[in-house]
Amino acid sequence: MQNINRPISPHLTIYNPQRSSIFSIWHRISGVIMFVLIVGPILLLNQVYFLYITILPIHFFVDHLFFPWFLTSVRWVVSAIFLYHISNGIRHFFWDSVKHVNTRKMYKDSNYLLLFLLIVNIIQLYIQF
Amino acid sequence: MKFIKTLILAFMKKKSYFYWFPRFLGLLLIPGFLFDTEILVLFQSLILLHASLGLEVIIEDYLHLEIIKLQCLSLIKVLLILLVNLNILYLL
Repeated sequence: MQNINRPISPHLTIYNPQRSSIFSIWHRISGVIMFVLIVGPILLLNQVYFLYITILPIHFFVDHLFFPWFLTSVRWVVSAIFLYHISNGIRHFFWDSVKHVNTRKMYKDSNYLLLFLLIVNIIQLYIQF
Repeated sequence: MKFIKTLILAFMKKKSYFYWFPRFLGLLLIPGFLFDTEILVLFQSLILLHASLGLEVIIEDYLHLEIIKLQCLSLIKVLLILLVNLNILYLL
């Protein structure tokens, strides 16, 4: 039987932030956020819109606050998260095919990724407003 | 090229599905993001499968108690089945 109360090493707080570890952690966090963002509308449809009860305060919240105000204001954050996950996934494909595993190339690739994200976000903000 | 070769080899051998399956789904999902987001509504079951595989990996990494890990994995699978059913229901 294993000891339940064994001390777990305090990761993420004792290490220096490196490019590789930070980008991997962001990949996971952005994946979880994307999961919530994709699953949310399905459950929202099931629990809010197709209910038999026609008047609920959450209807007001979803129709007048969430979709017009909140989602339009954070759309660029959402798109940045999606773009980050996709481009970092392409980097993972590169690493799987043993290319750009070098430290210098990985640093250069991460710089390109951040630059790409910044440019796309600026263009999107320019179009949006 | 080597990546495609290893992917096809693993696919042919029907082994190490944890390697090729999420990557294959991710390769399928990339053009949807590049060209048209409405394609992703049709591919939403693939998205959910990819997401549930990723969540399984995260749970396997961060939960250290064996029983709770197995419970969480089975709950994730049940949630995946529920979500794909809801998705098919609302697409029809």
